[in-house]
Amino acid sequence: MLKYLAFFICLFPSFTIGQDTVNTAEYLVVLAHKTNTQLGPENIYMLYSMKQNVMPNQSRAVVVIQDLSSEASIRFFREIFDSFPYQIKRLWDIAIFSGRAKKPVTKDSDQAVLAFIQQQESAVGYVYSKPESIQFLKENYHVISIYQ
Amino acid sequence: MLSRFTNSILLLSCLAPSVCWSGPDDVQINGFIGLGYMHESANNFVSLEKDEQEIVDIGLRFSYDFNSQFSATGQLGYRRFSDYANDHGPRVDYAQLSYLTSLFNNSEQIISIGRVKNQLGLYNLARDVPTGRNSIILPQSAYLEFLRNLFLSTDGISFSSNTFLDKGVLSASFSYGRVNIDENFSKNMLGDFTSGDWSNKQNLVADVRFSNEKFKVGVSYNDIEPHYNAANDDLIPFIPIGTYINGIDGQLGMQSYFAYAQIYWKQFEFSTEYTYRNVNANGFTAGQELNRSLEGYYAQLNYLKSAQLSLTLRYEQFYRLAKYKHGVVTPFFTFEPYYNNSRTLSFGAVYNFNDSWSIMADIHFVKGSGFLAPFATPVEETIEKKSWTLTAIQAVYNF
Repeated sequence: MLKYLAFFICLFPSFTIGQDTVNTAEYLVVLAHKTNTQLGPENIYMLYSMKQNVMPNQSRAVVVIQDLSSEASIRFFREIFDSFPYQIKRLWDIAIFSGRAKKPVTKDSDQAVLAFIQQQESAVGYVYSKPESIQFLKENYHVISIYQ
Repeated sequence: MLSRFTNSILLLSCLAPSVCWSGPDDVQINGFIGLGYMHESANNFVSLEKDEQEIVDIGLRFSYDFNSQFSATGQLGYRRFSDYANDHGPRVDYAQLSYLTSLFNNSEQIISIGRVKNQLGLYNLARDVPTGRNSIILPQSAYLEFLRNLFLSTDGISFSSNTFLDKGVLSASFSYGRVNIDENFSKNMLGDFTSGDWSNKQNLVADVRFSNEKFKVGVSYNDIEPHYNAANDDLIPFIPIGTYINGIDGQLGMQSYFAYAQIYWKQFEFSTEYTYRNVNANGFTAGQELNRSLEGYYAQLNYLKSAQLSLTLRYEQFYRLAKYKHGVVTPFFTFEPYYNNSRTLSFGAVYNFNDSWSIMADIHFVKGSGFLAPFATPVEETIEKKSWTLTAIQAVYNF
C-alpha cells in the first residue's frame, strides 16, 4: 500500500498548478434585476451555494450561470469560492438531485445573461463588462459587485 | 461484456441530447445517466461473483413551483450495482411537497412531506448521483454499501433551516418517518439464504452544519429500529465460518453518528469524516442479544489540477467490531483481525469534458474484508484474500 502512496506523492508536485487563463482586462460584474436593490455582496455566496432560495423581494431565486468552462465562469468561481466551477457544480448536484435546490439557468453569453435578468425579476447572474459599459449596467440593473 | 458496455455508451450518446428539456421557469426536468464498470480482484464487494460488474446510475428529476413558496419535487432513480445494491426496477428516490418560508430574519426554512432524502454526513444525500461524489465508490468507512437501503430516504416529514450569519450559514435538518427497505437488505445483512421482510421501520435523521467559502463542519445522527420477520427457510451464516443456522424473527436497532469537516483552500479540498454506529440485534438466530459497534474514519484530499481535471487521494480505516480491533479468539474459533477490519488507500480522477459529460475512474487498494456483506458474520467468499483491489470507471451524462 505504501508504495502506491509514494508513487502518488512523487506524481503530485510534477503537476503544474492550474492557471487557466482568465480575462482580467475586463470587469466581472455580478448583477440582478434592478428591483432587487436589497441584494448585497454577502448574498452572492449564499445564492450560488444554493443555501439561499428566496430573494429579498420574496420571489424564488433564479441563479444564472454561463457555460462552466467559459472564462466568465472560471473567473466568477475563483473570485467567489476560490475554486473551479466544476467543484462547485458537485455541491449543486448534491442539492439538486436530493430535491433541495433548483438547477441554475445556463446562458451562453453575456448578452443572453443580461437579457434574461432584464426579463426575470428574481434572477441573479454574472457578466464580463468593459469599463465604459459599467455605467450602463448600473443604470439598468442592480449591480451587486464588481471585480477588476 | 465489453461490447454490451460500448453499446450502452453509444445508446446513451444518441439518446442523451434528445431528452434535454426546457420549459416554463416554474418547471424543471433534468437528470443524469452514469454507466460504468467495476472489477474486484478478490472477495465479494457487491456480489458472490468475483468478476467485472456493471455500474448503472440513472436519475430523472422533476420539479414544479406552484408559487414562490409551494413546490413539488420528485426523482425516479435506478441503480445497478451488482447483486447487493441493485434496484430491481425504477424506484421513487424522493417525491415531496415543500413549503418554503422565512420564520425569522436572515433565515429560510423548508418543510417537506412525502418521501424525502436523508441528510447524513457529506455525501449521503447524493450517494447514487455520480457527479455528486468525488469517487465512484464512496468511502466505505462512512457509506457502507450493504447499509445503503437504510439511508436512502424517509417516508414522512422533514424540516430544514438555513440561518445566514456574518461568517457563514448555519444549517439544520431533521426528518422523521418510515424507511424503505427492499429485498436486498436481508441478503446484505443476513446473507444470501434469507428472504424475510422488514417492518416497524421508523427512522429519525438529524444534521447540523456550519459552512462558508472556506470550510464546512457538521454532525449527523440517525436512529432506526426495523423488525425482521423471518421466512421459514432462512439460513443465516454462523460461526465457525462456512456454517449456517436457521433464522428467526429479529429486532435490529442502529444508531449512527457522523462528524465531518471539509476545508477548501485554493485548488485543494480536504474532507474527513468519522462515523460510529451502535448496533443492537435481538433475535435473528437462537441465542443471546448481540450488541456491537462499528467505527470508521477517512481523510481525503482532492486536488483540482485544472478547471476540467480533479484528482483524489483517500485513506480510510473501518472496524466492523470496534471492540475487537485486534481480532477475536475463543476456544471454538478465531477471527483474524482482517475479517472485520479494513484499511483502504484510494486514488481517483474526474475529468469534465463540459457541463454535461464527465468521466470518473478510481482504484482502491484494500486490506481486509470489514465492509463486505453480509453484516451478520463473514462468509468464506468475503475473506478469501487479505489484500485485494477494487477498480471502477464510469462515464456520466448530466442534463
